[in-house]
Amino acid sequence: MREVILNSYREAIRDRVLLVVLAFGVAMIFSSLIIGPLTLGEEIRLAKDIGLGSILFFGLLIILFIGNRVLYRELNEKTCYLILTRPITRFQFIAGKAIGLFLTILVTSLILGIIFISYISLLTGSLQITAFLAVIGVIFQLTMLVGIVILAATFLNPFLGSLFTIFVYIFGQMIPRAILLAKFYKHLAIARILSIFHYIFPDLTYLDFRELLIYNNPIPLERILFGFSYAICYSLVMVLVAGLIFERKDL
Amino acid sequence: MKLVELRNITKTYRIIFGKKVEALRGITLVVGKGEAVALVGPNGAGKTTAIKIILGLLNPDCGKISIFGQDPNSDIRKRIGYLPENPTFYRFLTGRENLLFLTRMVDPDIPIKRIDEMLRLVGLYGAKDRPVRGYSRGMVQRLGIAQAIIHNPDLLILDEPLSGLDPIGRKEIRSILLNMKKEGKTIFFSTHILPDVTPLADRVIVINKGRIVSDLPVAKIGDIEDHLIQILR
Repeated sequence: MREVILNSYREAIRDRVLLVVLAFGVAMIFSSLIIGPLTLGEEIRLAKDIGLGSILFFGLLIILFIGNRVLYRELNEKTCYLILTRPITRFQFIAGKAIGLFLTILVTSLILGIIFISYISLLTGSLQITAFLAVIGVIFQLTMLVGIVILAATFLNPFLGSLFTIFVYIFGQMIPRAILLAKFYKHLAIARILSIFHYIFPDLTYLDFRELLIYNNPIPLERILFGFSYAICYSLVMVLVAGLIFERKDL
Repeated sequence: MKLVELRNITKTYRIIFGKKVEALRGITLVVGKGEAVALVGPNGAGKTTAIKIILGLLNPDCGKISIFGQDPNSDIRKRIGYLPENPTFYRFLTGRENLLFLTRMVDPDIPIKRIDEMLRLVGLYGAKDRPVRGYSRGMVQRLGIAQAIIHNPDLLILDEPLSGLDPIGRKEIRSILLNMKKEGKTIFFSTHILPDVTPLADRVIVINKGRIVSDLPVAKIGDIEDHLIQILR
């Protein structure tokens, strides 16, 4: 499986799309230098908001552009024939692809994250530990999306896979707020139905520390631990389901 | 000893609007140890489907498969060398990197020396550091042969092994396969190129419309082309 992981990572890292996305990500982090003066004293808050949002957004773009093609290329160009006829199970193949994509996301997010933390630390004059934790939170959010994109790639083409991932991402963001609204307006049946969806779709809000970072509030340890464990379990389940689907697929 | 055994294998492809195509209709075939067996037949006869089922790339609708007396999805794959029809490699990797990547899945400690040896054998040593995207069709086929035999497998399953090669390439690859046959390796291959059947195969299985219509030793066939035309008429 090690070979599949390394090859998947190598393939993604050599993709030119990655460089373009990274360049735009860096430009976005520094864009607050231009927009900042317009906010009348809120430059640092704006820099934190745009910076963290950029890491998530560009990570999502990498997942959509590269992640969706990682498996599709193998199936479409039939390179997987030479791999799956060697002593490697289909599940190991899928897991290898997922880990390779995760490594790509980890490396690119860390590059953007280090630039972001350095920039914020320069602006505030002190090292921002909360910014570091917020970046880790974004990486874990992206990990869940890696699981979803790999699952989508087992039964959808890249275009539909991208739509599926975007839909899951948006729905996952909306559900917790929708449950609160349903409870507020006493629509308990709707709230119950939404709660079922809450188990299926990823709740990225557990790992969204942006507000805490912007308003300089500490991130509670239990929230960090719960968020990280949730992301790991959710991603593992997605990869497991993807493996089960791929196991039965005719190649 | 039976190395490959298919019993009553049926495979149906479902096309859109509920349409079905029966690719294999209850085929039974056996390949013994040390045999070289050719699977021949017209386009769409079911040759590639049969090979994919043997390797576990396709799931049959019904029937039994065993390779080395075991399930095809087990660790016995270490003992199999496979060349798909029109093999494809990672275009961003060089020929050498592709071969190293594929071989390390079977033998993680394979020395680079062995990789270079194999590239020399198939005539690709001079192009070893070029990305595969710059390879011609024949060069890709040679690399395909190299990845199939590099780990010295006991069973070779080759789908159209000599297609895409120029006459010299065909002669060289045929000679490599003949050497493997002499070493006692079992070879099961499908082909369209009938002149390649006689020097390589001990037995010829003819498949048509998903059914095996003939299974005879080469010695009993005489002219293979006449034999095929006679059966398929």
